[in-house]
Amino acid sequence: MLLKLENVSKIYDTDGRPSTILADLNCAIDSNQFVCIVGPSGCGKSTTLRLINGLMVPSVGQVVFKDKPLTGINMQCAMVFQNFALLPWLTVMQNVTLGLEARGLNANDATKKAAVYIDKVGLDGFESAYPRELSGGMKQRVGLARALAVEPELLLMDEPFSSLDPLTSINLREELLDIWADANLAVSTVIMVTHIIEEAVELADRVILIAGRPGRIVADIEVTMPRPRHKNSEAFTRHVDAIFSLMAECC
Amino acid sequence: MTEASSPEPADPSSAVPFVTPLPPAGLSKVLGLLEILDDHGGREDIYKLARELRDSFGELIIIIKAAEILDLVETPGGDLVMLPLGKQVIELPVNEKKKIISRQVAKLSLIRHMTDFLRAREGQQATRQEVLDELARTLPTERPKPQFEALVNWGRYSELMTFSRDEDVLRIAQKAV
Repeated sequence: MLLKLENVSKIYDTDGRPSTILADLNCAIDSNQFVCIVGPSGCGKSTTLRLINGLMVPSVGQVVFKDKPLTGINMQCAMVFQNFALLPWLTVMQNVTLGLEARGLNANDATKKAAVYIDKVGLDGFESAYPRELSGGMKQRVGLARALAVEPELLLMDEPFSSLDPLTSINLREELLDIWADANLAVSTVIMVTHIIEEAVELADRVILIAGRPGRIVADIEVTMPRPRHKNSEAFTRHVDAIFSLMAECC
Repeated sequence: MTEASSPEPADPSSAVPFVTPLPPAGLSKVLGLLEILDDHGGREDIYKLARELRDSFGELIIIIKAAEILDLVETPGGDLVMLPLGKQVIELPVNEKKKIISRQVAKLSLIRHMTDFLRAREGQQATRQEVLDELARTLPTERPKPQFEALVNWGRYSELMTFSRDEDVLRIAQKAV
């Protein structure tokens, strides 16, 4: 088992009073899965990702990664953010090498490795460009290259397509599936947060629905349709309808 | 016959060469258009696509124009129809897609003209202002700045040109030398 959430709750202190954001999350995620976490705004989806990569510590329960309780930042995880999180004064190459140098690679090795992943995401030719010269889709490719370059086993993505226009988003989703399926890459498992159910059904093997206040896992749905999945197919619509209905019941 | 399938080479020696402008569209959007068209079985009314994408009709037309000049789609009677090359592109992994699109980009008259323009210069490079001046000369009815942005974007994507914002210089890419 790659990852387990065991009775995980997150409680914040709000003006001296405890406020529970997530309650009793329990789930197990195996390697080689593409998992989407869906749910309404404010239900704790992004907090769940931050607990998984160790940026936050559970108030109750534990996150277990490869049979060991997580006690700090999970170095076998990398994160892709909704707003790209690029440093505007650095070029594409410098943005990608930054994380590698932070992990102890010398500049030469970091540049060589970054070049490989810049190429993987189709950004060859843009190495010297600054973020302001790039479209939203290109910026997110840089975010993806930066995450892949640290060769994580688990890739976490927090609404990575929600800042993009529909056509760019469609293209990047397809390319993400290609990257996930690439056996030459270290990344075997993706956990992606989204609030767009169609996006989850298009991409995921499994959709985890978090809802309520505090947020709880209210459904865990397997998506068994073969890929590529066509949005206009009957099976696709049936899956989307089923998740929408569950969400409506739980919210 | 579209631009990318035209056998006529650009003529850098002519006083004002005949070149057609680049549609100011990102190539990621062109690839996204192919994906959505494939979801529709390879043929759809353009207005229906615009409605589905909730996109500005004007912007969608520019993206379609970009796909058309790359020989990926055609537009008979208000429909958008996938061409065999478009179908081939969407079935390939990222870098194989990029190779085909790059090959098509390299055939476009403006790209060929600007490549020849750069190659003819010392160091195979020109400043932004020199490129803007050449664009204004060759495309007198177009605004040079959007053409410059498109040229840099498509030139970088196809790895034919590099642009350094620090130096403000456009160059022939080493891989293309």
